[in-house]
Amino acid sequence: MNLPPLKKPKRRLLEIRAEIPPAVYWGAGVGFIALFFLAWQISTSQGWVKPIFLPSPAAVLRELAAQIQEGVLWQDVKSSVYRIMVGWMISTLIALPIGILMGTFRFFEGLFEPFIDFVRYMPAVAFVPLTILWAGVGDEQKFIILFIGAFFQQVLMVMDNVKTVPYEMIQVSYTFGLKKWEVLWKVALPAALPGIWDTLRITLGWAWTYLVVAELVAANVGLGYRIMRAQRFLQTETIVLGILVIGFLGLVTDYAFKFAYRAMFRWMEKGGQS
Amino acid sequence: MKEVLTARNVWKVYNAASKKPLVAIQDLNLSVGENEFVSITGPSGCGKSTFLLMAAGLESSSAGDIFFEGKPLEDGAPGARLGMVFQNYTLYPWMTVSGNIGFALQKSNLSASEKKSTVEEFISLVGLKGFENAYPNQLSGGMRQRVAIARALAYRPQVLLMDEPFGALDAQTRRVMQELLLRVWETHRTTVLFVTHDIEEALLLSDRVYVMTARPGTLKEVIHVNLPRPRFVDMEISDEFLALKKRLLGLIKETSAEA
Ligand SMILES: Nc1ncnc2c1ncn2[C@@H]1O[C@H](COP(=O)(O)OP(=O)(O)OP(=O)(O)O)[C@@H](O)[C@H]1O
Ligand SMILES: [Mg+2]
Repeated sequence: MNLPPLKKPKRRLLEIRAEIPPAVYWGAGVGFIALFFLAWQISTSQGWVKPIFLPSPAAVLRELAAQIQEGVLWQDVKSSVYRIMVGWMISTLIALPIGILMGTFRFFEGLFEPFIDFVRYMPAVAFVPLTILWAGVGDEQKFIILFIGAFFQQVLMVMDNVKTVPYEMIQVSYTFGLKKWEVLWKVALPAALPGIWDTLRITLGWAWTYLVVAELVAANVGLGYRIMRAQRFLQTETIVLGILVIGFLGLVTDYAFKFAYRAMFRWMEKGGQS
Repeated sequence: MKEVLTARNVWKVYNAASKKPLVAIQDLNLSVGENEFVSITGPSGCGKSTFLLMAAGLESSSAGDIFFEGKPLEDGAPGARLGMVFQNYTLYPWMTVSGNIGFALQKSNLSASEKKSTVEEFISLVGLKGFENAYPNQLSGGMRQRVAIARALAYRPQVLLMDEPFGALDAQTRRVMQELLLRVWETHRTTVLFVTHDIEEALLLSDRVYVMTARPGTLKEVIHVNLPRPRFVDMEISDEFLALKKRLLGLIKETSAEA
């Protein structure tokens, strides 16, 4: 087709909901992080804050190199990630079927919701002393804390995800001759899946918090443990490094989930035929 | 004419056990003959959607019976004999246009290649050739309803139930869809029960129009639409059409005065 000379699309940066060029979008995000590190660098190099309160980026980098060399970092990351993965997986594997049942059948909603609402308000962190009594300070105790922290939220969120599937979509499926369980399996679940995927992503983020708290209180290895021990010796660069590593791991998993979401749920995108 | 769908003294009462039961439908009688196109119209909340759900076997009646070819519909036994098109939200967004239509055929006895050709046939019937692999989110509202209609027709239900299928569309698209439905129905004659608020739509499409009263909904009157077929949208300015429209408007006015 012969197009007339096209006007340049107007690009206003601040327009409600308007798209902006990807370069600007990503550039701004990376730039902001860079700015954060720059501010940190300046405030320490100018001596505005004492190294004992906030070490310089260079000191943290040195600590990073040292920890990598000694193999401590890898060991801590490995055990923390392992705990997160197992604890969060156990929670997810149990929360999925229960949440789906609750979102599908009013009976299960009625059966479980009051109890879950009750437990949900008990702070997971308050269970740390109790879980140490139950399971010591090893991995199992971390799994329990992660489970208490993530499970009850996950169940309710998955239930809501399933409930957002329009009822007409369920009804019309029956008219094609599908049976109840086929409707659940072939229609309700695929329709709820994008929402469930987001629930998993969000709760994995929360799981990090619970893990670190559990490790701060009692552990022999792990990122939280490293932070805790460093406090005793006023090694602030170790503390800061630990915090940064946790942030970095969180960022990486979050983006892994987001990219997987885009790849799996292409059909959610509007416009443009694929 | 053979009766395909018959409602005899049908009631629907919601919250029957509570202190304030809600009578949605009161003692409704109606029938739809084989290959007949019948519409139901009436004030909002008079129980039109409720009746369609009962006819589809998706809701049970509180009293009375709905018969399908002379046999009472069993409760909660929706089967592929009845097709349903809703106003909105019923396409599976994770399936393509072909996928959506093919999904409806999964319980049919057709071979894989027959299924494939049926899907193609109905896609071109509703004018969506070239969009086989598009996802619902990439289609306009009118196109989505075409897919929904194709999907409901493809497995050849004996009765097609349509609940304001064009209700969410703009006036122009709605006309296009009405013409399309007329042409599709002329080539694939089937029994249709159609709910609409739009009295011109009801007259243009139907052989008969049932007018319901305000809640509790019951039958007010039946109008026989003796316009010749094939019909076209521009018939709406013919004298016969306008006379029918006047009569229907009068009835609607009475029902809303009662409400
Ligand atoms: N599941 C339900 N529980 C309780 N009341 C209901 C339920 N479904 C419908 N009703 C009530 O029954 C009455 C009839 O509803 P229905 O949806 O059938 O009306 P309608 O004629 O389709 O209206 P509209 O033209 O606005 O679509 C309404 O008063 C509605 O509030
Ligand atoms: Mg309705």
